[in-house]
Amino acid sequence: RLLYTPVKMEFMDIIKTPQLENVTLKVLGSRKSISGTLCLTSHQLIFFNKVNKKDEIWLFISNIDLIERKIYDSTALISIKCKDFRNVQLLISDIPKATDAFESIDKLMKISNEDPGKHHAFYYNPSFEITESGWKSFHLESEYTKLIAGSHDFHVINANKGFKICSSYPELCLVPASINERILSRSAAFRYLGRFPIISYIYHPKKSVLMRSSQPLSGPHDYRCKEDVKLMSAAVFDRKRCYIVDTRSANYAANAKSKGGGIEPSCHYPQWRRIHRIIENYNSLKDSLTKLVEATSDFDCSSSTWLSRVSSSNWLNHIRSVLSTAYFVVSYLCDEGATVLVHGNDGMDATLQITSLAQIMINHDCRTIRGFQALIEREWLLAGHPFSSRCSKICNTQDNAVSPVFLLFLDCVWQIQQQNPCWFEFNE
Amino acid sequence: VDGVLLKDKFNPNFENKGTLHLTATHLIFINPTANQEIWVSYSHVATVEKQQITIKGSPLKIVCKNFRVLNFVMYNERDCQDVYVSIQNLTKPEKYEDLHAFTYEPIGSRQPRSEGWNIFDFETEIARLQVPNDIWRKTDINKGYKLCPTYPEVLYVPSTATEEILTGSASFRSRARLPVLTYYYKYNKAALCRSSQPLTGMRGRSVDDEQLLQAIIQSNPNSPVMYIVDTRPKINAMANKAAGKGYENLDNYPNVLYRFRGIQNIHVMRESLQKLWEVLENPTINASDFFDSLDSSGWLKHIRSVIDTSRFIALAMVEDKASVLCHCSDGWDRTAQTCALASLFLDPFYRTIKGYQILIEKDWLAFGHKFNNRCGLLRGESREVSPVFTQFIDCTWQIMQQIPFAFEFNENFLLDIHDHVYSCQFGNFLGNCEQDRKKESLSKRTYSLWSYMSGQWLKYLNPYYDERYNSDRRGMIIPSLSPQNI
Repeated sequence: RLLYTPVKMEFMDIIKTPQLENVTLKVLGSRKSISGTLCLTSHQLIFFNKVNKKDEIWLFISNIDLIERKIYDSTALISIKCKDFRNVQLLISDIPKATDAFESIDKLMKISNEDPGKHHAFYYNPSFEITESGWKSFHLESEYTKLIAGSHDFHVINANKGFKICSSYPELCLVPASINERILSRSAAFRYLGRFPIISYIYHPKKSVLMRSSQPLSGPHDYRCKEDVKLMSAAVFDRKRCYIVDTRSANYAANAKSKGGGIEPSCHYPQWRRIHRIIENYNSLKDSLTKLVEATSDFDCSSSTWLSRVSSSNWLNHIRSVLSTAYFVVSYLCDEGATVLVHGNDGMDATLQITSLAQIMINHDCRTIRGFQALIEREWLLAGHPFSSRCSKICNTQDNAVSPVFLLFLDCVWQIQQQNPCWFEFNE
Repeated sequence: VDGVLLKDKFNPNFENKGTLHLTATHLIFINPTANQEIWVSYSHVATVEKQQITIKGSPLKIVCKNFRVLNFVMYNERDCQDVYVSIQNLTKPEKYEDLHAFTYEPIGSRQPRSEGWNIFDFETEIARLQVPNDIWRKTDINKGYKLCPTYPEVLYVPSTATEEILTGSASFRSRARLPVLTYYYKYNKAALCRSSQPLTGMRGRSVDDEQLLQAIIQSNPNSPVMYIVDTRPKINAMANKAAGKGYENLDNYPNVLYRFRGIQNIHVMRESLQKLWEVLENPTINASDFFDSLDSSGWLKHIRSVIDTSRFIALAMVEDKASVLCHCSDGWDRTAQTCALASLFLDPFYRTIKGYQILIEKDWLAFGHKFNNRCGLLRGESREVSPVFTQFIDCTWQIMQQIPFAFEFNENFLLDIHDHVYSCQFGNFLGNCEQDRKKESLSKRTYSLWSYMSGQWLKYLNPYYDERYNSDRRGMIIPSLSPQNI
């Protein structure tokens, strides 16, 4: 039954008390408390009741967002907030053992921060039968081939071999046919973190292209990079309209400009029309989510209090601004037939939300199970969204790199599903 | 009328042009290029409004009772005026025969009209509940609806209650709606009875009514007391007393525990829905205004209070093992909601497709909820209109969201029922009580909604249904009242 090979030697020292009897567990939100035994392994907390088999709870230590300990007269209370929003409380009467357990869990939580090789993913032994290797399921080249759909106007080049042009992009890049490695290399030098404009999606009926990038390093002196201009123009066919959707406000962008970044100056990019569609920076998402989670844990408040807390958390406003920007991008691409470039500062957060949601709205393949998985591979994993930094915690942290950007994206997909349940092959 | 534009609420630039047809029973908008056909029954129309002329033409706004809103724009003002007047006349019929139910013929199936009219028989239901017939008896004191015109003909009362006691009690209750049995929890022998308010203000006391309640208490050996659940706020009950009615004086009713539950009256509910509608109708509203307006409509608060009271009744019968008498003012609005919901919590049968239909037949149709008045089916007093049944459907849906495994049916089932209450395509909900329906011979002259629904069983099935859900607690479900869950 154990999902892991038994406690590895390197973890043995940390776990002082592998098993505690007479522990009472309460999951916040449910009315009942269960008593049983708590087991600590190298990567999990297992709570079970020897009599009632149904009352078993398994918790990955990496799933813990915050663990706190309070000691009353004769009992220790350990409260665990999980990243999946479960809230568990453990009451242990043996105080020294409880303290041992708390300290062990605390150390185990920090281990993979210090040594990523100790993360539980490396120790995981699946109990299910592996029918296909997920690592080989999605070939970037075949994904790109699907997007190109036989057109001669685009090609895939191995320009980023060894990740030397851009460390956060894949090695293979989908670009217009006239673009070569030299152009990409120059454009990358002109873009923040080397993230040059790369193609996300091609809308063949109107020959319009969806691209994403990071901010240009035009700086206060409006530097020009003719290769970057060429790269962007190559994606515009038939002298059509083209838009730059900047997810920052004009002020924010101006501020970035004074620090060396900025916007594509219209003198160098005369064809392109810039639209600012403000999406709040990823920093504010964490607080928003924290407020929302707090609102959901108070079951005794009045309905007015609940509604006003949901409202002031602003979470739904974030969803709305992301969805409406994605929708705008879709209408530029599909109704107007215009090519669109989306970027913010890094092009690693809001940008990816927009490009992936736009594809979900346009391309029915992204609404199938495999297609959605492929979308995440292309637009999030290979696009360099910093999962480790953003998802090391969910709310309970001061680390400003943490932000539920991907969770917001999933919520947006769910919202679309609620409105159009028959569009999606997959469910909640 | 040709060249009519149907405006899209969310996309003002979207042009949807077609032809508007007015038939004897429906308004039909057809757009052949978009392959679209929209049918609206006149019975569904709540209001029709001619708005200010714009450059596009004359706008006509049709708001329906099933919350559909259609914004038409007609090029020709004269056409618009004609349509407006026609719809106005067609949507406020004077008599039942003008309603669609009398002309409706289902396409294809050759089912006879009588199909689906007899799914509910009080005697069969009482037998299913295993009501002991030495303690409770059937009485035909209401034969011909002589004692109480708005009650069903067949009533169940404690066997020790004589005809004299029943008659006396009926004369002491508003509209003669005396306390009678509606549900029985056989495991505890606890009975759920319903009635209307007593005429305490006018008559003072009635020994007969007191004896009837004592008989109810004695019929339950597991509890020395019973509850009277008055679904009204205490203030309203006291105001009623000043007007001649009121609530039971506990000095005269020993062994009774009284509880006021504070569900607001039909006028408050009507306004609440109106405010809610305004919120939902506005696509440009921002998120904080949305929540503020949602909150100030109070709709969710009212839903919560109905579920809360029903929960109280269910728990009183299970945990306290006590019988409960439930009433409001006239015993046909809040009483219907709470008795039906409480039975739904206690009895898994009512959570099946057939069972829910029977529950509606019993607590809403047989016990005289004024569908005609409350749903505005015929031309009448607008102050009588109130979304009482809509709230009941909403409450059912809320509980389905919380506990999806406990229900055999899904959302489509609830939506279709609600839709057809207002569509008047079927005869089930015409009239205000059983007597009305018998008088109009509805079962011979119209089709029953239930037979229509039995032809589409699969559409209503809930894939999560677990027959044995909570079987260790006898299938009882108790919903959560926290605001996050409603």
